[in-house]
Amino acid sequence: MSRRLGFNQFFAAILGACLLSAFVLPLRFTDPIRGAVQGMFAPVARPVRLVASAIRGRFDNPGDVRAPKDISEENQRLRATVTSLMGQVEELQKLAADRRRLKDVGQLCTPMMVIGSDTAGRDSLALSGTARDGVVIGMAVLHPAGLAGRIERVGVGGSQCRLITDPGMRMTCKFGRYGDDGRGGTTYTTIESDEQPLVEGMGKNLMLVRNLRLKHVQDLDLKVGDTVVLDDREWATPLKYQRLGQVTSVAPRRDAPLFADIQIRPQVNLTGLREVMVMTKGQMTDGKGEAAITKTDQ
Amino acid sequence: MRWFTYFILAYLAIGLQLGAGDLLAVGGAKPNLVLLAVIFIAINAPREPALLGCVGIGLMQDLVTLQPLGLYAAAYGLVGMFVVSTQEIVYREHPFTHLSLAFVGSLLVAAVVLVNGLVRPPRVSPGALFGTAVYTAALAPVALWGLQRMKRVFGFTAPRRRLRTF
Repeated sequence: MSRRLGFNQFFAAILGACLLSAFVLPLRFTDPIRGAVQGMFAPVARPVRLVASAIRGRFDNPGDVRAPKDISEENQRLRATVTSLMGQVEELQKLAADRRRLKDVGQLCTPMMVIGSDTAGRDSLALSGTARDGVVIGMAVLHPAGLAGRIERVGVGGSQCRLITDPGMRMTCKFGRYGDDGRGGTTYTTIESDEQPLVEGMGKNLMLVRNLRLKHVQDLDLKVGDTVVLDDREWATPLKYQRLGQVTSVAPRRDAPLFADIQIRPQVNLTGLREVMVMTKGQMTDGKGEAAITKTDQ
Repeated sequence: MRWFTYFILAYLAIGLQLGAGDLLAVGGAKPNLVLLAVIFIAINAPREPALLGCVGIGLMQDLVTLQPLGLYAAAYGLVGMFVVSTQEIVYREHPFTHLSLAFVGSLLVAAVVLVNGLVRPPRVSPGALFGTAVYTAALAPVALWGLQRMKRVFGFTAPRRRLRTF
């Protein structure tokens, strides 16, 4: 009986310590521990992910049934490049700046394998990149069709990328639309708005813009299929106009009918990515060599 | 309980969840394969190793998620306490036992995660957590049936009671 009482007290102490860590202790105290052992499950997770995604790929329907999948993927890459370069050109015209910034974002990135996705209901990816590979907290993470997220935690064992669809992720953005330029090509047109849209991650590969007035959205003629791009000074300059996703629904908000509920989904399921590109170079936003201070979440 | 076998089970369960958890999602709900391992340990192992084992698996899962460290350790500890308390009154091999324990266990985990989300945003969607509970419960009879076949490898033995001589 006394042994059992002793164990009960010991277990209660362990449980109490876990609850304290989960509810009270700031993450900066526990993240270094996790960063050190981040990649220890890679020997199982990576091959399982490869097999599972290969099987899943056979059953998923491609978004555009009119074109082969590889043409669709090439189209996405080209569109991402066009919008990114347009954003950089616009920035240079405003600043009359520094040609060193005019680079394809791909030149600033290092490809890294995805070990797995979050095991606990958040939208994040475990990456193979470590601190020794030059990965640092706050670095942007991209995929072929746009922006994926930001490095949240890194150590000698691996790193964790918080996806743009994770609850609490917020970025200012712009809407735009692809159209025919009349000469057989495709052009991208920005939809200018007096109100700055703020896109928030909602989890499950979904984002919402909820701060625009419904009348303003109707005046802009925002439609399903319109593109959403990053336009946030807290992210590095080369990332301007990186694609975040596409508008999938526009409706009045249930809790505030005068405002619009704009649903946005990335072009691909971000939690299903097998490889990403981490922007290990070119993080400057203000030309003074200082890293960006990212928006804090609630 | 053989701790080396336990660690292999925990490693495989978390590796599977990490690698395939999202790709197994149906309608946005993904299963919690790690919880199935927790229930297996809790339903078969003696009380003290079972409780420590459940917390240990949760702690290992906390290492590879964005959630605060200790959240799943505490949640699985509570699940372990619940399942251990039912050891004497349930049929351990019955599929309905597995289904019901998995469902209630998932709801316990969901409650802890939701409360944590209220205290420390961001919040995980309650709908997603309920979907996970249903999906996990649906997989439980199959997964736990397979694990029960391998029970001997884990060396679960009841604690020996001292003989009293009067």
